[in-house]
Amino acid sequence: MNLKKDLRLKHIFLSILSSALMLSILSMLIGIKDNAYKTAGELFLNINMQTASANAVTSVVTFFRGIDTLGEVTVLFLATTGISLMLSSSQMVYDKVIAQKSFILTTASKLLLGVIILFGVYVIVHGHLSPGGGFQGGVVIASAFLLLFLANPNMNLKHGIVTLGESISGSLYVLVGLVGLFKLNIIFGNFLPHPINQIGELVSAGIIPIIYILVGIKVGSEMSVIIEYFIKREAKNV
Amino acid sequence: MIGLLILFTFISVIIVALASILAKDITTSVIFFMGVGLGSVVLFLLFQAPDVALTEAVIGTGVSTVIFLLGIRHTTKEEEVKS
Repeated sequence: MNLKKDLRLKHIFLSILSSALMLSILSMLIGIKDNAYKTAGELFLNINMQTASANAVTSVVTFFRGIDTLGEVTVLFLATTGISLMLSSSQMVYDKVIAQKSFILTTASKLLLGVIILFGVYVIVHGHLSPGGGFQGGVVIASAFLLLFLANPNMNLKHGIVTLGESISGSLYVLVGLVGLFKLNIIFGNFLPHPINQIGELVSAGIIPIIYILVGIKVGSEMSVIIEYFIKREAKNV
Repeated sequence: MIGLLILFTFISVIIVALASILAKDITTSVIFFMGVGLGSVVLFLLFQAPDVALTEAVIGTGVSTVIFLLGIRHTTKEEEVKS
């Protein structure tokens, strides 16, 4: 009885609190004018001149907060390691539920595969110019592999190549950061030439596109491996 | 004008999130969760964060839904065989 009363009080308190929060957010939203965001963007663009990257978010992610990005990549690597430890086995069999491949899916996958991979490469390579970057482009490429797995049930990733690409790109990513540390005393320092008058070109901004290409290879191979392990199951469970 | 659009998206995201919580079937719940991701993509775009919107569209709406559905299929199949 007493416990019930406590619970009810807590519920009333929580609902009052959340409705007050909701009301304050709503009043903020109604007051927004159309040009309310310009100041923060201009601030970022002023700092952005140091890195000569057209996309301000990219210079924050790869340079100002480079070590955080290294941490994110490490988290994804650890997640992939855990998933492969749990789900991998020497003999994996495709699940029979989606093994009946449909004609529409196989035809569409042949048409769409190149377009999706091209879009992923575009997002990675233009990471310092337009929205996007290594993480997003890598996951786009992994979704192309998902389509391939759904269309061809008996396909296997070549794990040697995937592991090689993943480990080499990860090591090179750390190496680039260390070179910046030794040359400029800043980790992920931009040691390549990055003149400001080349801002907006494809080859500009020094090491930022290199970092994003390495991150893209790493994330793409890791996500492809995760999707493969999820889509196939161990032989003993079937 | 943009405030009203944000408000509309905000309320619809909340409604879809409630539907995701209250759905009886877990697959339906995952599909509604994808709707939450879709609404937040529009919200991020309206708040002028295209990088975050792209990330949410690819990871939150695409890959996480696929991984949820595959996980559901892995875990529920044995129960169906038993019943």
